[in-house]
Amino acid sequence: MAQNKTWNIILLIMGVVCMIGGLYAIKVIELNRLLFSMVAAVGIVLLEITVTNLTEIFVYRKYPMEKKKKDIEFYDERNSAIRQKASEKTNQTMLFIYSFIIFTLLFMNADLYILLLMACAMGMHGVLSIIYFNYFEKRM
Amino acid sequence: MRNRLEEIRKEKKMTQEDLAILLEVSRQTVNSLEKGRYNPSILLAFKIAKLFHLRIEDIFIYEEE
Repeated sequence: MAQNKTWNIILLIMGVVCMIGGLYAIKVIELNRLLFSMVAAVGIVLLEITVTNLTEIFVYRKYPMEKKKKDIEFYDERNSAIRQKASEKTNQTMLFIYSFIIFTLLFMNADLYILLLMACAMGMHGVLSIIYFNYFEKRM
Repeated sequence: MRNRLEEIRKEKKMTQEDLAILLEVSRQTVNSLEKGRYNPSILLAFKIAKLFHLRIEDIFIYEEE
């Protein structure tokens, strides 16, 4: 927990530095706008994540029962089964959406490389499914 | 699969919340188990049986369809 807290504080400081530095570089020095916008965005994301983590650490230290409740909710076997089912359905729906997007792009006369990119993403989906199936087959 | 979980729990004068805490599952899981909407894993079934000092088959009744 203490190490987790230290890491979060380090990342928080980095986030603040990136955010302020990025915004300063854009607004005051007027350096590369795209690059420093990305730096500022990374800073904001880091800030958001670390503030959430630190708040959780402080709240759970003060109210340990809340952490236990959250852990129970997360590791609850019915919730895990629900999550798995939801992921499976999301997977199927996303495959349908990918196909729909590819056909829409095809009728819009989109560039071939965009179509190929989408087709590759769909292909990767299938390949990853097989890889993970084999991986878990050996472990269950 | 039928089960006598609700009956046994009430015999022991426990609430769903109490049972959920002892089993380290959510109260909704206990409710789903009692209503027969969810079948527990073998681990949870053993945990329930151990908690009530019963055998699994005394709580969960397998019915062939």
